[in-house]
Amino acid sequence: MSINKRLLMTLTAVMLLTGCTDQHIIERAGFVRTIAYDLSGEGENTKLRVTVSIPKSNHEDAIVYTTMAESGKKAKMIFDRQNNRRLVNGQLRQVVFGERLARRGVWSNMDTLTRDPSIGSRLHIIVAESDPHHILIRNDYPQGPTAGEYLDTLIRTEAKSGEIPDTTLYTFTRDYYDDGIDPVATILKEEKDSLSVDGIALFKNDQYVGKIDANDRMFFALLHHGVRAGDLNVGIQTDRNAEEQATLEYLSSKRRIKVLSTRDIREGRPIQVALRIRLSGSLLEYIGALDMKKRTDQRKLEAELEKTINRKCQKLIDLMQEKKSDPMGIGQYVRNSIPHSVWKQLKWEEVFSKADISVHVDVKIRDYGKMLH
Amino acid sequence: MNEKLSAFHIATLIYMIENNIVLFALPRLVAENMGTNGWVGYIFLALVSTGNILLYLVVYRMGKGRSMFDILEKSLSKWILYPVYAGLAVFYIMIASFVGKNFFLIFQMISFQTSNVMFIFLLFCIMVYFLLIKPVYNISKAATVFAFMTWWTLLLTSYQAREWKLIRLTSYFFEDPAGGQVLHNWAEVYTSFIGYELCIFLFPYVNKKSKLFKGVLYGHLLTALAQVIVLLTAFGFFSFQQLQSLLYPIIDMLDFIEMPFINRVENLVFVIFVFGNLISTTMFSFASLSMVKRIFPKTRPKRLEFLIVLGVFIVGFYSKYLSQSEYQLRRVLFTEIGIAFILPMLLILVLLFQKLRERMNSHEH
Repeated sequence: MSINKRLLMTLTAVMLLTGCTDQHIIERAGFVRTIAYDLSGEGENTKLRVTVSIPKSNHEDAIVYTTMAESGKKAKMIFDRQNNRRLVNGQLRQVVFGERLARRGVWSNMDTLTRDPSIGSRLHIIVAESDPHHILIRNDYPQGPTAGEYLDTLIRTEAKSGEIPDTTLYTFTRDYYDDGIDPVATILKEEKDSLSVDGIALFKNDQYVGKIDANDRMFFALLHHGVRAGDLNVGIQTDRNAEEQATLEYLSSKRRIKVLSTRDIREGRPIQVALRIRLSGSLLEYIGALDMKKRTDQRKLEAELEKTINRKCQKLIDLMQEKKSDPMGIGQYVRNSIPHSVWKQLKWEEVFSKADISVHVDVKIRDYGKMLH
Repeated sequence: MNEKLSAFHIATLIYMIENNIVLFALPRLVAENMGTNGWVGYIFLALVSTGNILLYLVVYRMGKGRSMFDILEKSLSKWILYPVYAGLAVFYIMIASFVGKNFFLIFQMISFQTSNVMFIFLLFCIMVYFLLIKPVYNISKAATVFAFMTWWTLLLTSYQAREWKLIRLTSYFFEDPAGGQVLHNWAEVYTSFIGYELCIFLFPYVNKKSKLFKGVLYGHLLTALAQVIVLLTAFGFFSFQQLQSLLYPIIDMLDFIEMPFINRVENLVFVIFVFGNLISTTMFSFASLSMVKRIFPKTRPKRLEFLIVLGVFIVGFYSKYLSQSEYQLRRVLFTEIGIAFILPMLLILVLLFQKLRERMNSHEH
C-alpha cells in the first residue's frame, strides 16, 4: 500500500505541476474587450484599419491600439509588439464593423472569429455608422468607464427586452449559413455624450444592404422574433383630431408565419405568405380623445392600434423586399413547404422580393394602468 | 476475483466505451454524411448495431457462454490463431491509443495550446495502467462512478432550448449530404457506436445471473438515446449548413452556455469527457490484453498490462496533429466496424461446424 501511496503522491504532484507549462496569469495578459474593423481608404486593395480596446485593471481606463493591416490577426501581432502584456481574445465581447466595410462584406473578417477557439460565440456584432475608431478611443462617456464596458451593457440591456435582436456571433453565423434567412446586426451611432442604438442593419449574405430606423425597431422586432418585455409607442392617425399617442409597455408578442400558396412558384408567380402577430401589453400612456372607461372605446383603440402597427410592419416588409434581405426567415417556412428540388432551383432573394406578404396584427391591451378612464 | 459482473455495471461500461471522442464530432458527422434530419438515419443505425449485438448473443447462446478463444481453439490450430490474436492485439492497442490521443489533441486546441500533449497523454496512460491491472469487475465499477459524473452534462442541452427552433430541422430527409449518399458515409456515422463489440471479451467474467446481453443492450440503447437528444438539440440550434462546417459542434454548443458567475464553460465541461475516453482506451487495452494473455498465459502479473499501456503510449507518438489523428482514428474505427460484424459471424460458422461434427460423431458411434 505504501508504494501505491507514494506513487499516488508523485502523480498528484506531477499533475499539479503540469499546469506550470501553460500559464495564463491574469495580471500578465491583456484582455481585448472590443475589436473594430474598418476600411482605411477607398479602392479595391485598401487595407483594414483595426482598433482594439483593452480595459485596464483599474476598470476606469482602456488602452486603445490602432493600425492598418491586411487581416485581424496580423494587426494583433502589431499590437503585441507594442503592448507589454500578451493580448488574449478570451474576453472579447463585441466586434464593431465600420459602415463602409460592412457594405463591402464582413465574412472574410468573421473567419478568424469563428475559427479561433478562444473566442466565444456570444460576442456581439455591431455596425457603426460613426467612425468605430473614434467610438473606442473616447473614454469620456458618463454612462460607463470605458467604451467597451458601456457598449457591452447597452447592447445587452436592449437585447434582453427583445427590442432589438440579440445579434451575436452565434446568431450571425447561424443565419449567414442558413439559406432561408439573412443575418442582422445592431447599428450604433456616436452622439455627443453617449452612444445610441440607431437601428438594425439588414444583411444580404454578408453585405450590409439596408437599415431599419431606430424608431421602427420595435415593429421590426414584432416581425423578426417574439418580444418578451418591450415598449412600443404608436402615433395613431385618427379622424377625431391630430395624431394621438399610445404607449404599450411590457409588451410581449408572438408571431406565426404561414405559407399560403406555393403553387406556380416555378412559373414565377409570387408566393403568398401570411404573418400573424399577436401582442399584448399594458397601456401606460394615452393622449387622445377616446374614453378608456368605455368598452367600445377600448375596442376601438385596439383596432386603431392594430391598423397602425399593421401599416408600419407592411412598410418595413416593403423595405426588406426592396433590399432583397429576408431577416424574418420567411425563406425557412417556404423551404419547409415545398419539395427539396424546387427549393434548390429557386432564387430565394428574387422570389422573396416579389412575394405577397400580408400582415395580420392582433392587439390585446392587458390593462390600462391605475386610471379608470 | 470471482465476483461476476452485473447487468447494471455492464450497461454503464458499454455506455462509457461508446461515449468516446467521436461524440464531439457526431452532429457534424451526421449532418455531413446523412444530410438533413440525419438523426433519423442515426436511429436506423442504432437498430443495425443492435442487430449486430444480437449476433453476439447468438454466439453466447450457441457457445453456451464459452469464450471466443475456447470456441476457436477447439476447431482451429494455434499456429493459425496466434498470429491472428497478435494482429488483433496490436490493432486494439492502436484504437486505444488513437482514441485517447485524439482527445488530448482537441484539448490542446481549446485549452493547453503550448503544453506538450505527450506529457498529458503519459499521465492518461498511467491512469489507464492503474485501471487495467485491476480485474474487469473493478473497471466496470470505475466506469459506473465516471458515468454518474458525466450524465448530468446531458442536462446542459436545456441551455440551447431558447435558441432552438423546429423550423431549422427542415422538412427534408437525407438531402444535401456533403459527399452524396453512399455506404461509406453512413459507416462514418456508425463509428460512433463502436465499443459494444467488446462484450465478447466479457464472456468469461459473467454467469447466467449476470444477464450480460440485457446490460449490453441497455448500455447501447442508453447511448443511442442520449445521442439522439444531443443530435436533435444540435439540428435545431445550428442551421444545417453551419452544422456541416463545424468541426466539433458539441464544443460550440458548450461555448454558448453562459452563467452569471462563469462563461465559456466548454473548457471545464470538456475535461469531464476525459472519463469516457479513459474507459474506452482502457477497455480496448483490455481487449488487447485478453488476446495477449491467451498467447502468453504464464507471464508475471502486471507485466503484460505494462507492455500494453507502453504500446498505447508509443503508438500515441504516431499521431501528432489533430487532422492526422482524426484521419487515423477514422481508419481504425472503420476497420473495427468490419471486425465487429465479421467476428461473430465467423464464430457462428465455427460453432455450426462443431455442432455438425458432433452430430456426425454421435452417428458414427
